[in-house]
Amino acid sequence: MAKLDPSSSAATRAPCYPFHPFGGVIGTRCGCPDVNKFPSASIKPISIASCVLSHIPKMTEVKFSPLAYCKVILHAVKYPHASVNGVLLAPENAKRDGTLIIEDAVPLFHMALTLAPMAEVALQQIDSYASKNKLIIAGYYEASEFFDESDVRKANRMSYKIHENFPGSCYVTLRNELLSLEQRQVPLYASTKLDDSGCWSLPGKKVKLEKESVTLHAASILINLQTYDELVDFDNHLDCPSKDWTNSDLELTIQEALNNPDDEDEEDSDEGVELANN
Amino acid sequence: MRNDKTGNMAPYDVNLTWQEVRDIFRTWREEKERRSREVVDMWLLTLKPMAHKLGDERFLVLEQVCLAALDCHNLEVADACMITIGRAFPKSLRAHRLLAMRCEAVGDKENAIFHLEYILNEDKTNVAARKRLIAMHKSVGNTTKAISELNEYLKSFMSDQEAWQELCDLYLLHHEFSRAAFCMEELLLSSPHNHLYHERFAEIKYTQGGADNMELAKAHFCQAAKLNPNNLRALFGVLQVC
Repeated sequence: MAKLDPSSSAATRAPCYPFHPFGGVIGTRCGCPDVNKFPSASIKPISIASCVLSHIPKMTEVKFSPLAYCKVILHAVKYPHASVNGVLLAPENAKRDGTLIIEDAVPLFHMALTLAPMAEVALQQIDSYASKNKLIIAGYYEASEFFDESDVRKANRMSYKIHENFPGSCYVTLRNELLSLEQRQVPLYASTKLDDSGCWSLPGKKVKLEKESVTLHAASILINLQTYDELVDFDNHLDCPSKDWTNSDLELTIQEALNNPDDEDEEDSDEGVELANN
Repeated sequence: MRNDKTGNMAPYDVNLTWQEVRDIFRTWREEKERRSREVVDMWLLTLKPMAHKLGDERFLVLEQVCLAALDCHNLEVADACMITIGRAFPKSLRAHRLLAMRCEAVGDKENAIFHLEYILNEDKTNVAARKRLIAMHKSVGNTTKAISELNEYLKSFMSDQEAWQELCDLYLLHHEFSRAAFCMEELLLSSPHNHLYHERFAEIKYTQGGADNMELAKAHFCQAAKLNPNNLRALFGVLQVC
């Protein structure tokens, strides 16, 4: 993994290279970025250039929208036995008083998180989706499968690549010991800076949440109703392409839970209670 | 009933007959699917009252439900299953393993190790107990120890595909791609017609990078796509590597 030179800033790098997730990090594959190789990425440089060339302030705080938070939590709860990861999306003009606001999350994988090919495919598609919706890839989240991590492992290369393209990006980890069925506190911690050796300086700071109590309550309801079964991550999409990794249907369900916290699907909640009593 | 658009099982479908549930359990047993929540729910809702009709499958189902219940930390169901199995097979090491796993589920590592070592003393070739001991290292996050123990295990049991897969996953966690590739090569030797192994091997080679690895990746992605033209990962892989 190439060490990031802390003194280099994205503003000095030529902004016209197509967004190529793993270029230069893996072997000699991507020594020469070739626009023709990635037609879908060739329309991307403009969205990247605007934030690369503009001044990036030091982002120290990360704030999640309720939608992004619910998606991350549902993804982690859907695969409790596996590590999961995904990317975080922020609005294009992502600089507001030193707070990075995460609007949306795209769950990616729950198997073999460190492998490159599918990650590249995913990032290309997400980049395309993001620029259509005036968003940028502004972060990476990961929830480890281990409750106690006694081994220190390298952070996923994807997070560094995202950081190269958007230096204000964040690395969000989920603390398993703080995750519960009844959400009482935010289990997500974000790091926005790299330390001197070019690695993420962990542990980060606790993530802020918009409308915290409402969101936590909605997340608890969604978990209890097992709505995570409806969440589609990129792995699910690769297994069955008709599944929508943008989770537009789930978004509606999440919005409903946020707007009507006490009035969720009544037929489902009865069954949920009945099973809980067994 | 929830409108499930993702094609997953809708576990609260009370209209499933007990025969259908029994068949679904059999499929999940054969495919080694980890659907613990659904197994426990379907057992409690549908199959448990008709358990006496299961015949030969009864204890297989009980073992499956027991493991699923331990996964969900539903100790009541797990204990009930274990008692039934224990009464029918009082000296069985397979049943004893369930006891060790129950200790693990409540976090009682010493007793779990004690039970597993008892099993290994009785039968040195008991593969399940050895694997459980390795799994316990992984469960506390000590993947380095799990890797070294698994390597020792594989020196004696070289044909254990599950173990090679697990070792591959552990190496991938540590970004040790060349060693992970070696594990996949062992799997490919034993099952050259498995498109998933070709595809995973190709992904590892791609991740390693370099001209030779890319050529290998291309070859194996193509082979995976040839073996199963519906393997989307293989198709994307061919696209990425060319």
